Amino acid sequence: MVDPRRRNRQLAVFLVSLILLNFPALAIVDGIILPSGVPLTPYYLLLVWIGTIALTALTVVWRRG
Amino acid sequence: MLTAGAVLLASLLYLGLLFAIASWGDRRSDQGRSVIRSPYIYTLSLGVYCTAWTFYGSVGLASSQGLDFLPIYLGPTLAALLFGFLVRKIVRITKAYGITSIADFIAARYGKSALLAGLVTVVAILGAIPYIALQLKAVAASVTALVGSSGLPVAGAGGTDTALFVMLLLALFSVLFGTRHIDATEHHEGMVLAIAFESVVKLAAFLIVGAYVTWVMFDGFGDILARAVELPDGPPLTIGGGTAGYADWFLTTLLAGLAFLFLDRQFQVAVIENVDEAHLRTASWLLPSYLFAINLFVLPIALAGVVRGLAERDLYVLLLPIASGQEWLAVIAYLGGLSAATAMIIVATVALSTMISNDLVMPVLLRLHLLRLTRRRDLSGLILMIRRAGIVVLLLLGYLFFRLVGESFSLVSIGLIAFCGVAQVAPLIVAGIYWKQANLMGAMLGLLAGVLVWGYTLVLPAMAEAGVIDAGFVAHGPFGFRLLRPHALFGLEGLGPVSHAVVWSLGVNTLLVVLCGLLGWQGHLERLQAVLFVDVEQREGIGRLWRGEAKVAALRGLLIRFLGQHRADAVFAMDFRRRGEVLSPDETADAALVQLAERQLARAIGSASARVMIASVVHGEVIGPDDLIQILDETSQVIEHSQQLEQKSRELERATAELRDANERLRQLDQLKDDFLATVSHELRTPLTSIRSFSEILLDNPDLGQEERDHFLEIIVRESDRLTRLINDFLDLSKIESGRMEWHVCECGLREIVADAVAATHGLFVEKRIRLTQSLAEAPSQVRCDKDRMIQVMINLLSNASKFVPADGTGHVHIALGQKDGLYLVRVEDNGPGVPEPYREAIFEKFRQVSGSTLKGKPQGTGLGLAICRQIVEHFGGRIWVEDAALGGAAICFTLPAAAVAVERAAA
Repeated sequence: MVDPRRRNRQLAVFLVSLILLNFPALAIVDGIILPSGVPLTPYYLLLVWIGTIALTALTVVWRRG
Repeated sequence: MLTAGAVLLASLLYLGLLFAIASWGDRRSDQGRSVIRSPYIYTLSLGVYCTAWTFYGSVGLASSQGLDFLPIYLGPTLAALLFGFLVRKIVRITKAYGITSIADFIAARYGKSALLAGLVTVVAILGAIPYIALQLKAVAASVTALVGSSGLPVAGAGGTDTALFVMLLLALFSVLFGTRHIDATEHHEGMVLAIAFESVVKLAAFLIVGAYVTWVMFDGFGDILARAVELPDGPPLTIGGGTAGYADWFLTTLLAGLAFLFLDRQFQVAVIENVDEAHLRTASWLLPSYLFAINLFVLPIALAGVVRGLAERDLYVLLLPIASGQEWLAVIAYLGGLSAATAMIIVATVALSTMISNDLVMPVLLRLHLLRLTRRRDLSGLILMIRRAGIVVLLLLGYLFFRLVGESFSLVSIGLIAFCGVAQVAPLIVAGIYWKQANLMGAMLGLLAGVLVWGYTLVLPAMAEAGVIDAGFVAHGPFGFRLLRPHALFGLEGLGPVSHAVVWSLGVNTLLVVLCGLLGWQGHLERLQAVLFVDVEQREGIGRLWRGEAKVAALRGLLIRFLGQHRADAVFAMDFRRRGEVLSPDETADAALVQLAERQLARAIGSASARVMIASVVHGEVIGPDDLIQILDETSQVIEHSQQLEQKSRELERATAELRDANERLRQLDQLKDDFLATVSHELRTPLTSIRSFSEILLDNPDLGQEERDHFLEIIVRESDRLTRLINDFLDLSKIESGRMEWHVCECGLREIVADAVAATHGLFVEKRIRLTQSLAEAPSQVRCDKDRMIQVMINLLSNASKFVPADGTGHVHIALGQKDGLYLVRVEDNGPGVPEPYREAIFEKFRQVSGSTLKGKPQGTGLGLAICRQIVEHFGGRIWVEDAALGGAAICFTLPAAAVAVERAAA
């Protein structure tokens, strides 16, 4: 059987990532321009992507006890 | 400048290496030394998702649309998070029931319907052919770009010949390494290893080119981005575009996620080729890492191409190295693109050839009685031939598509159209494995409707764009009926064409699956399969599908015809290991052997055909689906009963633990009771003994002197008083604890209570020469309490203090009345020995006096006074405790709420 705690953690990461990678989070980020004139969006997306990978790896590797 | 010969040689060397790797992998597998039993190889094989579209198309899209390429990879990243349960369940079902392809999976779930399997296969082929064309186009275009400036043919014949050449080589590869075995569920280890290797090649190539462009041609990411934003016609670096832009973003992410999970080639590598479920856990984070890495330089390369003003956006990966004179780098990039294209073609053709053979051709051939296939001795060769022919036909169709209309589309548009088509199976699979009511009718109607809407909203407009049909159809709708415009169906405008098609096709598809499931009817076999799929975790191992008689010889003959002699022998060897004896040909096969044969047959020809063929050799009564459902229901009941027993067992364990705790508590209470009785007996016996002793002395000695007699009588009276006090205290405490105490609550002043208590104990203090001082706040200190009981508390505290102060006339007791934290605070301090920290809680317990510690001798009193004080104070909402006194001894303090607060609390 699937470990329910791990499944719940993965679902939580899925939902958080889904929210951060879509409207309205993206609409907020879209409005921010860095001092160099480059929009924040590309950096934000890469950061969230890395964060999702890291969190997923943690949920897979982490075991209680 | 590169020549066509050099490019051809590089291609041949690369493909030769690929052959060598696949061959080595297969040899190792044959020797029983598998090389794909690694989560890393498994994850890399899933990288087949990244095709030429990724390698070339994403850059092309990014150069014009900025970040719009990202949802294609964010979707799979999110989908990978579902590996742990969604894909794991699919893998488990596939392994349990010998499923050979995604079409077989869907058909098996919906009652082993051959019609549905055929329909899914057709949809998969429709989605795959443009995709294969896309790969061929990418290879041809890349060759043209490489040799274009060397004076060789650059377009038309030159490019297409390359595509044909690559196509033929890949057909050979797929035939050699994808159709070695008749058992379609067997792992193609050589092929998987080659695909994993190709994933490494394309990633490495892209990273090398990306790093060169970013840090050699430019001054890093920041430099490229900064230059790009200055371009007047540069691509946007935001999602933007209003809500529709975000809706497109979301829908493309959804589409990519579904395609990643349910593309036939992804199903092949993720499910059929999976050798260990545990690999899914690693892949759930490692695959997104791979996708991240391969996309890291997409935007920089795209922006660099725009900044340099290059044409042919789809080929920036090649053109940028060529433009900077780095031919070696261009060759690396070309090999990366070639690996991306070939990997997709190999896996897709192998997966589809199995579907064509098992779900399209064989069901038809087996039903054509004219061919008398069921009587042929060995059909395994025919099956393999059909699969091989399927590979060649698929590649030829892909090539023809590329030649005829492929030039009219960008790589991305072809890819997205194909994605939307194959995503139509998603509702069928998801509903099929989680919802028992999903039925064949819903699956058929949903898939058909979804595919029709997909064709109407995406494929027809694409053909119009290519000039195959009238473009006015897109702009004005069929016959000028604007509500039916394919890109704005029923007036739904504002979305991109692909998002629009996703909403309508998947929406209609899902709606029909759900509606039919809710309202429709399920056949017996459907019900059975639904139970087996949805409850796969509980149903594994359930057999007994046949009750009829089948001769061993007939079964063996059937297996030999479809699997060949060698495989048939292996099946009977498995049966021998299970039962421990060899069945003679004349014996009757039991249900387990029949099911084993059906499952093995399904691995070769699919579940629908296998069922038909098994039915052809089983005579007599076939166990009815109703019986099967009954068996399953019985099993369910057993499982449920078992779960109930487990639940009861857990409850029993909990109850036992509670009982153990209660028993322990009882034991402690019993001990307390014993202690209490011992203490009470002792306390009562002491004064009684004195009274009795002195009474006997008086009785036995009538001639005692008056003075002595008076002294003894005084002792008797004092001990009698003590005894009375003790009994009164017992009674008080007993009443309070049992809630039988009658409280005469009224509003009264603490100053007044203190004064009354001081007056009552005045004589005691004078007698012992103890100095009593007071500092009582002037403000009113009204509390709600039983005045007599509070006076009793104060008397008790003062009496206690008087016992412990020095008896040499230096004794000092101080009473203070003030406020603390909104409560009235009374402190009775003394200059006695104080109460050590460990005893400060214990002195408020019954019979707990601080004897034997810092005190000398047995303290006077019943040992109940402070316990009674605590009960009284707490009854009126206060708290009592002991702390160090400024005088050097102990300070017994208690608080009481003001009368107004007490009333509020009572009301609450």
